[in-house]
Amino acid sequence: MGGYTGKFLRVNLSTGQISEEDLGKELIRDYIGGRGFGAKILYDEIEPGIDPLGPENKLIFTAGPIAGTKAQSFARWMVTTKSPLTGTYMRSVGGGDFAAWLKFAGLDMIILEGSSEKPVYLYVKDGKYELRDAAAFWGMNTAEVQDAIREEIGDKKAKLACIGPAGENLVRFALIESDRRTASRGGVGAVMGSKKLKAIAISQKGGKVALSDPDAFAAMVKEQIATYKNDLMFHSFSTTGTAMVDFMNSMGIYPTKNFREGQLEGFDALAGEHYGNMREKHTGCYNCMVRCGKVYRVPSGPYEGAVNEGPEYESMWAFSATIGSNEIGVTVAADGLCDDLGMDTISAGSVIGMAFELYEKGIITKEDTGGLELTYGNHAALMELLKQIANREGLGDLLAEGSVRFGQKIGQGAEKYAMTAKGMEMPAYDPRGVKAHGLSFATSTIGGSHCIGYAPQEIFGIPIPRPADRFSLGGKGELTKINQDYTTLLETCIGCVFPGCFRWITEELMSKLLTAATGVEEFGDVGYLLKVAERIYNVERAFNVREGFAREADTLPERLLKEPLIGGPAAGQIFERDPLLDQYYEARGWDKETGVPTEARLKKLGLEDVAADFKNLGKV
Amino acid sequence: MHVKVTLLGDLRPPEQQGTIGFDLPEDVDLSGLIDEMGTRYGEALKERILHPQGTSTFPLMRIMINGRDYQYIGGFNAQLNEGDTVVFMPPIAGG
Repeated sequence: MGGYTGKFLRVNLSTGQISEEDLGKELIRDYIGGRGFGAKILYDEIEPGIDPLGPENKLIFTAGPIAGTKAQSFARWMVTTKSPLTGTYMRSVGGGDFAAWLKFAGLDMIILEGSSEKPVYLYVKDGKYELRDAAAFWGMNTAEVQDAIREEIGDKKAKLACIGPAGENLVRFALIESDRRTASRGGVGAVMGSKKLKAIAISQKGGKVALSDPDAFAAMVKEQIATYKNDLMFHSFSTTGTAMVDFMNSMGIYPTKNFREGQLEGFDALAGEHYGNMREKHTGCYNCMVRCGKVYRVPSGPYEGAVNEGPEYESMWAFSATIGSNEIGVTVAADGLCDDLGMDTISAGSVIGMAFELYEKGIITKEDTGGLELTYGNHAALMELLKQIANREGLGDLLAEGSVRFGQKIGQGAEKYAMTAKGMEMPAYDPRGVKAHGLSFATSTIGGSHCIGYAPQEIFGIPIPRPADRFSLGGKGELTKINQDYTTLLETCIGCVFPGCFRWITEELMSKLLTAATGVEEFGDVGYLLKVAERIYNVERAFNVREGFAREADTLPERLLKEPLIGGPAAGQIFERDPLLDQYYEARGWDKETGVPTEARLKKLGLEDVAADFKNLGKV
Repeated sequence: MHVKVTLLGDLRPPEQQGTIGFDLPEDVDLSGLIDEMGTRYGEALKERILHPQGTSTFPLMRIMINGRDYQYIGGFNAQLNEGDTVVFMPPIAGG
């Protein structure tokens, strides 16, 4: 069988034991790879109710079956775990070269379990695996530690996945970084920190992924490249990356001042053309011709000289509208700081935006902030708070817990200002002005994420599988299911959601690439692949149901349900949760009252084991 | 009537910043506004927006009238009213 290496690594950090295991044909056939493997193994191997930061939690790194090949935009790596931020299933995705190197090292996956007493890193070279002392690297930021480990192992081109101080300090939204690409969301870096694992380092001189039918595969890659080149969006995306502040602001869904308003005053200063003027070069992931990454250098102003790969759109927002600022330089400087410290920009920016609103309302004062004035536009305070969060100092120690816990600790009704779904901070789209996109935030298996079921029909006007008016409710339940299942399929191969959004990567293309790569007959049937995607989504949902999440958790902050959006063309909109949820559950075949997958739907998806678990737990 | 127009990205003429005001006759629809834009800024601007056959925009070109996609409120025949805001968005990407 091509595509897969057929092997994965199981590393017990408590005992130091490392073993190679075989994937098995059943796992491949029933779950394809990437997100499928992660979800299935997490569900099977983790007991409900465990502490996400305890040794019982697992951290699963996966690379997809066509990572490391010439197919475009498929070399992303994924981390699956139980989130310390949300308590739900979590998957977080990163780019760069790490997934290709994992495959070249002969591995489809690494499962990390237990926790080490002392800091260590996992060294992978020539089929040998070793846990090495990382005491000298503990405390280093993500850029420093990658350089230092490369020097220690004598391979300047080694690829690493590592944590920074935020991960070590168990910041609940700490990330894992590889070069300058990140698996940012849900605190996967805190789980790695709780295991005292500073990094995984792969030293490998290139490699090749075996293919079942190399000629057919090459023909499909050629077709894929032609599709990219012929698409108008490709040229725009390649040139500007994700600098689309003016686009979202014009739609009135640029969440401003903690999701109160839909437009930022003075947004022109953040328009894509200004990012274009700061752009030094383009960067990209392994075998991806899009090269959406941009290196920016701030030419003047208070952050003159700041340089970083990024920010992309979400981070541009996280460090501007959240705090009512249109200072473009701080978006580059703060993004670089978060990369170095190793924490998620969306959650960090959002929890700080919440603190600004609490300060405005007098719920927190200078006594709580250590003298910092959290007045709108004060970007210097934002920079200070980011450092405090990573080091768990002052107010930052509370913010490091994420918005929901921060609100609970402050009290006085502060919790309702947490702009999260299932405890994870929402990204840079106001759900009131894009209903299917918002419905996916509410129902996502990982909480407030734009990537789980991006609605390109509403955001970009892409009419696949059909056009959709962003303000209407009709058909949005089914559309959300379609978007979520499409993304799940894409992420079995860990394809990138950006080309996915524009449907440059279709279900048919994935089917043909998978078949040519692996030779698995079933993968030639798009219907089969979509059934697997739905199965995976239901396993993720089942994990959450087992943890106690149900219909009442499929929601958005009260503000979005009751307060009409202020300002801009989406003014007056609210998020109509209940009718949208009813539609969605119907499309999913889940119980409308509880939001739990029905026995009939689980069995239809081949999840008899989950149905039996639910029966034992009294969930069906 | 007075209508406000925003051109995003590379649609915006180099000398033009922010919102552009248009004073139009009372019965003008979206196609009339696009004609007027062509008169003021040149046919090249129209050619960036309209498909050569003239019956639709280029794929992924978005036009929003008061935040609503023009396709759902009458297409090119959508009637404009005093104070309307019309935004033209060329293909742009992100996530």
